[in-house]
Amino acid sequence: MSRRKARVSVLLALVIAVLAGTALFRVSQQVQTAEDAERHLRISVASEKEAIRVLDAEWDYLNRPDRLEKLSQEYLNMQQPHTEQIEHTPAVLPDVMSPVIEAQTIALDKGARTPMRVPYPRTKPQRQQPRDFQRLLDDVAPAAGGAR
Amino acid sequence: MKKYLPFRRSMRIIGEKRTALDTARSRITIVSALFVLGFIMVGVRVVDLTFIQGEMQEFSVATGSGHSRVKEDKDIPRGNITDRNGILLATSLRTASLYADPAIIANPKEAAQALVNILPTLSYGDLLQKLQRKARFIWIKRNLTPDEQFAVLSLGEPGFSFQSEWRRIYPQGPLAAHIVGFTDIDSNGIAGIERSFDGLLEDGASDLKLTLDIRVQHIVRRELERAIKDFNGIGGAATVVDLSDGEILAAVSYPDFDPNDIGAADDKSKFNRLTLGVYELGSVFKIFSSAALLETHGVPLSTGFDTREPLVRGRFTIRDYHPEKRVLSIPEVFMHSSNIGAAMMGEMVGTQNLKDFYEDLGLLSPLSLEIEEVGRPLVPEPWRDLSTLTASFGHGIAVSPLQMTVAAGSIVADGTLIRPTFIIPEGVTGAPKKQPEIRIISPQTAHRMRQMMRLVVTDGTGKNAAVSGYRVGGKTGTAEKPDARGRYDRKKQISSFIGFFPMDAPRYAVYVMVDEPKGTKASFGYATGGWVASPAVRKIIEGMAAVLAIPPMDLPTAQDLSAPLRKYVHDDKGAKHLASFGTD
Repeated sequence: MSRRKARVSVLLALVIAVLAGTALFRVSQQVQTAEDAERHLRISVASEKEAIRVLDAEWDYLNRPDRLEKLSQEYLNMQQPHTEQIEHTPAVLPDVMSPVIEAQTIALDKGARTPMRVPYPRTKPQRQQPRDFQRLLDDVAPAAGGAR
Repeated sequence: MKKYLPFRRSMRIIGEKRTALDTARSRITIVSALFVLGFIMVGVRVVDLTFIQGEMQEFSVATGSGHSRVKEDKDIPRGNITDRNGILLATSLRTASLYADPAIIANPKEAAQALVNILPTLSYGDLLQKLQRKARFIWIKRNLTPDEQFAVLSLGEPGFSFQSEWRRIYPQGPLAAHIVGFTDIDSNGIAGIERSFDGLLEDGASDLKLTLDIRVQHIVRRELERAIKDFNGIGGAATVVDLSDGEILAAVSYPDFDPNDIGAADDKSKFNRLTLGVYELGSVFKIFSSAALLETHGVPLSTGFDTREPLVRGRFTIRDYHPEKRVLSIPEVFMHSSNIGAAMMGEMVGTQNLKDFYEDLGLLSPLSLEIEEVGRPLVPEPWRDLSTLTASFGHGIAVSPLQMTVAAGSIVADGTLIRPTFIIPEGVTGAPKKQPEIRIISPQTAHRMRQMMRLVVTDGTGKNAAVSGYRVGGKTGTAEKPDARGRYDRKKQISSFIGFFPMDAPRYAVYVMVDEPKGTKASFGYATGGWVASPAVRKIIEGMAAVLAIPPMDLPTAQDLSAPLRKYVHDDKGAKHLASFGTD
């Protein structure tokens, strides 16, 4: 083995050692940072959980039935319904308003797959079409005394 | 040159050619290399500690501030107890407890004075005595509020430190205090569910869901409290049981206490009258004696019982409160609550039969329940024939109110035994196994009993419990309390009402009992079950119906459950009803 070759191998070994050391150092730093971040996350999760516990307890404390009852008596003009006020036979009630658009049965292909969304009848009235000017005039005219 | 290369030399096999100089040189090289390596490591570590880790630490302090109180530790809080809708009945919150290290307190007097200003419940002298002791750890106050902790921290006294602890909090206060129970300062359960499920709760793995519904619980407590206050009673108990599965929706004992402040509660308030207290409950027991008679003898309802004269057996005389002074049919005995009639029924049933019947209903042994505060019934010992007579109308035998409710519920709910429970089965995979039913009376007898109890509310002593649309049925009870010498005191009574609704297919049992009520002007001086407890039951049912959204349903009088029994009722009012049937 020549001297030159030996020197190159020594240098190579040193470079590799330094590179390996640096890489190891980096990894260990990353692990430490990650562990630190994880610890912080754990702590903040624990802290949030505790905050939730406290808020839960406070929510149920503030919603005690006796407190709600007192508040409603004080601030709301409402009372518990008396059984006499409830209609005992719902059949005698007049029918409720019929929907603006009647429900339509949607015919489906027997072979087709079930559609993801089936449009349901809307109870809200559809937006009115913008009227054209002539129709507007026609509408206004009788009130104005009959222009035509 | 060749021989100066250290690596090659070291690799060469040791031989005689080696000179002393070579050896020395190689040793120096190795040692210096080690030193250089050592210094490099120290240098790297210094950089690591000062720049990398040091900076990061500062960063972590900056972001972690405010969380420092919360340790990422393994201590798990005690499990929560909730009602059936998940409303918290008991939970654990982290609080700070103050302790002192007297060894590093420079001026105990000053420290004690400053602390007393912040925590007025402490006494200066006691605190000073503690702070001058030669100890390193002294509890000063457990479970401080955050405001108190802040004030103590701002004192800046190094001898005061905090330890974070879990504190048991009961958000509902006294609402279900007797059932939920309470813990000591170290969070060990010492009463109620807290005690009986201590191990499970300590694991903290899951919440414990009770069958109670705090809305119903609140209605029951409100109405019981009102009944006790209106009639100046010394206490009472009330419960609502779902007859379909034995789940207890509400369980109230009054007076009650705030489990958040156990120290302030006296023993009377802590006593659970509903499950631990046993009382002679009086006429409600006529449910059992009548059922026993119908079941064992199958007698017709028209069977007459002569109540014109008090019943004399040996040196005892059994009287009626409001004597009808005529021959009464079975429904009449029941609706007028005649002691004489009930005693005669008991006599007909026979001592052994009645005793067996009570045994089957679970009235002679403690109720099996998930809390440990369960009272043992007081049963006549030995059971003489006279005991049979008195036990027929609820005297000489003392049971807990919940036990009575469950037994009466068992009769009404088609005659099968009801098993009361406070716990909702959760986390059980698959459909819950239906417990085998234990039949006590036949469905026919159960139906007869339902009819008779409906009659009590439509025409008898329990009219005050009627709620339109809910077809309430039930039985009043007014019992005289025995005094210390065992004599019954006419003025000290226990007034109660057991109600069921809707009576044609009973779903809920509502029981209210008031201890030592006094008659008022509004009740014309009466303090009987019909005047004291029935209105409370009515109000509870009205409230429950609204909360649980139970739809009302009206039935014409002729279709009412009690209608077929009217032919056995012979007073004026009964006659009127009969007349109205003709026209209906």
